[in-house]
Amino acid sequence: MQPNLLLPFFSTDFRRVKAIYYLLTGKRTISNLSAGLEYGLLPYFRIFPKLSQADYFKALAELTAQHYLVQRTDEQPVARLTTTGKLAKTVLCQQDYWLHSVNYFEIGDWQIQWEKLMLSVQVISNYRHHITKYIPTTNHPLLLREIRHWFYRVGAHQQQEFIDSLAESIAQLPKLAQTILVNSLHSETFAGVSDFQLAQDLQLTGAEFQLARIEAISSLMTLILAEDPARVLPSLFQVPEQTLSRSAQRTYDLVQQGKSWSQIQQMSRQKEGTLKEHLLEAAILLTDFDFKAPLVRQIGQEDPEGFFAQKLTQIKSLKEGVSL
Amino acid sequence: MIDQQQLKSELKANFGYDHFHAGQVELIQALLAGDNVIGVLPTGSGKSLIYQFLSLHLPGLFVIVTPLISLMEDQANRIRMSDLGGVAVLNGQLDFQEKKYVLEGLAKTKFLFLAPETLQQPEVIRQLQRLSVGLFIVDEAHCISSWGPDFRPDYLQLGAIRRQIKPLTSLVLTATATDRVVQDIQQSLFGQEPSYLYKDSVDRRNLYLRTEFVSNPEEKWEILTQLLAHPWPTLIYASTRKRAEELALLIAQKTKRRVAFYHAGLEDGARLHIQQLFLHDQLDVVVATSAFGMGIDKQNLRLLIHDEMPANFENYLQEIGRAGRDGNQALTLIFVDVHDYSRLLKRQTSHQIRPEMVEHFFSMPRIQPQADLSIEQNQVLATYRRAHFPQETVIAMLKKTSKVRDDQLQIFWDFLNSDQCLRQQICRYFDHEDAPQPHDQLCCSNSHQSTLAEVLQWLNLPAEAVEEVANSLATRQQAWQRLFD
Ligand SMILES: [Zn+2]
Repeated sequence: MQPNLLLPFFSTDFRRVKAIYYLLTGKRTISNLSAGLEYGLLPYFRIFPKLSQADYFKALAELTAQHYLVQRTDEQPVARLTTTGKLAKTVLCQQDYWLHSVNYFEIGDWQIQWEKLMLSVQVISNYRHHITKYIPTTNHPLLLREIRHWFYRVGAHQQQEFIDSLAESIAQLPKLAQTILVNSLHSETFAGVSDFQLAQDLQLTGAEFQLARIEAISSLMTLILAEDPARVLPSLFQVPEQTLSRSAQRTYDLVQQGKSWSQIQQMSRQKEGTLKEHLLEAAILLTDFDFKAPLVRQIGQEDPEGFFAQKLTQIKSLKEGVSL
Repeated sequence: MIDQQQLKSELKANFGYDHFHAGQVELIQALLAGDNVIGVLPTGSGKSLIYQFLSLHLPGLFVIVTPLISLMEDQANRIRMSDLGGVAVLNGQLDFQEKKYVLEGLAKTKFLFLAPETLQQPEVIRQLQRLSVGLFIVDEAHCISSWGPDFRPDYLQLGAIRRQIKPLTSLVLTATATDRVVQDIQQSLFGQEPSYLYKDSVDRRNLYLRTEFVSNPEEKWEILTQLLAHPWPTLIYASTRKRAEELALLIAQKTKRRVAFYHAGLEDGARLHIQQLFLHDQLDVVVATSAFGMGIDKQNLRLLIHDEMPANFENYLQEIGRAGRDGNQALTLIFVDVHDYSRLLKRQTSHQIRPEMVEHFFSMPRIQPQADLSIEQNQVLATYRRAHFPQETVIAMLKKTSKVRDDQLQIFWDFLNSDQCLRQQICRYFDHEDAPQPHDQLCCSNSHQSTLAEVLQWLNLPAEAVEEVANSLATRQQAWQRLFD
């Protein structure tokens, strides 16, 4: 990890360093998600799934040594930006490789979207050249199956639509994103170039290039997913998962169906604490979460000093603050 | 028994080759006769062709155990290209859903690649017991021996697993094995059951062996630039990820060669892309870490460089084996610095697992990664614990393997510093006999004996037709034209 690239995730107020690590690597717990909400970092959820804790803390130590960051241990380690750090953050956020479009909960996991783009282009390109034997750009069996099914579903007409509308969408992106996307694509008839060469040509470090790539695919997805979902590109890239984890979604569905708390406990066979966490996850991630729903209020009132009620109030005020 | 002529015509008809490599036909015949087989064949001799060929003869699932995830994926991809049946891969990189999908689809699979630790999972064994296994293949089988440098405790379970899944027959493959390692393989996998052994000489006559003594990084770089000025497809082995990246950067900045680095930190997609570019001569130089297998079958590597010495003979031999697979002359060159030995010894000592680490790890109520151990150390200890080895045995085994490693480093260091024929020494070490041909001008040298310029003149390596270097990146229109028109 190139240390300075972590600066934008901090502010001049103290933030919990572990919560930020878990957000960046995509660990979905109430405590991490509410920290994400509090710090305005939810869009960056899971952008660095492979970042190791050791690398992260090493980078923070370097930033601290360079006086960009001040670290302190309260109940848990926290850190804030110094004035120098804030300045560096501002400069960094103006770079064309910085992440302005990423948003896990709206455009999905950028890595999966990237792999889908690479594979679908490869499949269509090779098909048009009657090449049937080749090594796919990804090894993930489920992704391969999904693209295969998608490919059989889209007919010849939609193939052309895919090619044309992908060109159209890419043409609307900033120059850097265009260059990266176009030269990363490859098939048996177009080799593309390696990430390393691309980074060299763009005069970016490896880590900066990685950000530029995340930004490129994210900005493309933002465009595509705003289109009519019946069109061919959105049909391929539609975000399959709901915003909520599967179990949280189930619980929230039951709440919306008007089931009572005891009915929900019976039906889901889960501990009460877990069900409450599901509701908190919904409260954090759903824009239309109903804080006034009778059941939600009822559970809160049962123990107004308890974790659930406190957390819910905090989430509510954070969200209202955000929307103001 | 099917005669050789018939096998040959099948080879031509189904795979397009005119000849078998040494050992292939012998192993195929023995397996068709129902024998268990151990094959010691050099890198690049087409080991995977053996089981591809057999898939047309033997019923049931082929289970292939192979240790490196990257190699597994590459081998699987190669078979996917050949229409010989369903191919599946099971390893720790798959998530729960993917693993379930693969296991449920096994009935439609002909080739299943998996890592040794995955094969130990009860649900995997259960699933394999339900199906009939036609051929059980253990690749990189030298990992089974604690006398080998790449000993992996996971491999010790394979004998027991083989008895559980009851394959029709078994094929055990390795590129480098001394007699002692072969004994361990036989004992651990087959016990008293007889097996057929085919052992080919490790000697590859078309590889020129060169040691280049240097005393500082500047000197090394000077020689490197001299070599990189030639348009030969080149693979450079670096000892760490960091070094691989730095060296690639230096080459990108200071030479005109198209270069990339290649190590386990790369994402799958990026890794596959680099392999494809390299395979199709759209990359000239790849700087790779040795710990990361490159499973592509690039035929025309003319130059293979070791930026730093590997830890032993076995790795050296495997790695130089990637050069000159097309049978044409290739140059392999290894840099030797006087400080290399102590540096490597220090690295080995720092990776060593000390008795108190074992005791601490085993005192935990269950297997859990310890913060003071490296990822590899945690993995090794977890494997021993999963296999229910007593603590004292583990300590003793680790002591032995670390001694073996130190000895092997010493032997390899002596080899690098000797003035005798390098090929002769390799043959004596692995084949326990002399090289088939005597030393000559196209055999080997070190930098005390002859200059690099002389060697390059003798070798007169064929230049490859390098595809024209595109000066700039493609525009959208250019890319679309080549992708879709
Ligand atoms: Zn010689």
